[in-house]
Amino acid sequence: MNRKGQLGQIITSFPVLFLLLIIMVLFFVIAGTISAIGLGAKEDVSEYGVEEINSRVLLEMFLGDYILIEGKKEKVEDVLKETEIRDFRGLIQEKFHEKYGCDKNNKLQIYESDVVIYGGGQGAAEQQIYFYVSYPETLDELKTRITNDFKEVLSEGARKKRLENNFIVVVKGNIKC
Amino acid sequence: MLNKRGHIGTTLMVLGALVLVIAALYSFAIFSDKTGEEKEKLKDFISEFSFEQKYVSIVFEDMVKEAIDEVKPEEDFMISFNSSLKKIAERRRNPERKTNLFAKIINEPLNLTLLEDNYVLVLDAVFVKFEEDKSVIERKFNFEIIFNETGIISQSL
Repeated sequence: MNRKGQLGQIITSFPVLFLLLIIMVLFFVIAGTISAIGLGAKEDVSEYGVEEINSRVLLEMFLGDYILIEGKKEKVEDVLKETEIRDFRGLIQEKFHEKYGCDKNNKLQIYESDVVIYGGGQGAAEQQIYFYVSYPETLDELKTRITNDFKEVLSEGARKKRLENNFIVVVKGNIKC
Repeated sequence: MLNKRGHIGTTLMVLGALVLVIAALYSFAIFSDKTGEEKEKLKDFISEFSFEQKYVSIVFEDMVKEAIDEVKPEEDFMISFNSSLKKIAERRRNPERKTNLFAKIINEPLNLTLLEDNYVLVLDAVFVKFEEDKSVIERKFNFEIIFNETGIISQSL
């Protein structure tokens, strides 16, 4: 029996050619999908990038600015890193409000977070966040300790900086109001 | 009897077409993955540079504003402004920033002139540089800022 000849016949038969047509169609569909996904991502990235750059400028400007403590100019970042924040959070929030607040359009959060494990062995762990400042909320309105509620933390378009003492400063907005 | 050679040729052609389709799709997928990573790197790179560029002009304007506010009415404006601006630049200086702006203000004599009732401060060849691996972006600016005792009038790059 001539097997090779039969194989050739099978491969060039109509159903196989039809299968090839399907593969070609699939080729175009997959190629089109890949291209469409790529285009969508590009737009998202550029829009998000600008917002984040503005927030970063705002954050660096704020951390590099000063507050007056006993008549002495102290850099905001140094105050956050080196002193007990509870004593100065009013001054820090006031500075942000006066110079960077943009009529409460810009947002500032200063917090620290820690993981708390309940029970021994395989006890449940949860993240607790302690807010020191959450502008534009006033300090009186501020809910301080939050458990497992990450919606309270700014995310998209915001800029976050973790300081050496694990305080986290997040800013969202634009210095040009 | 069937023609063996003819059928082997056709068979190879069909198989070849299949291999080409699969190879093309595979290369599409791989190429997409690579560009995705490169795009992300490029985005970070441009984002870092855009930030440095924006930050430099904003921080310069802010330092000038602060120096104007610090001058007391009884003091000589130009002398006092000069020394205030240098002190502010020292406080604001941050080694993380890839610019010579702060060094130029602190170490070089300021090009401050009085033009009618306004002061003109010119800062030449301020650069912003960002490098990662072998890629480097650098841009040079000439800042010119016009102001008086009450505030900034205009700023240009």
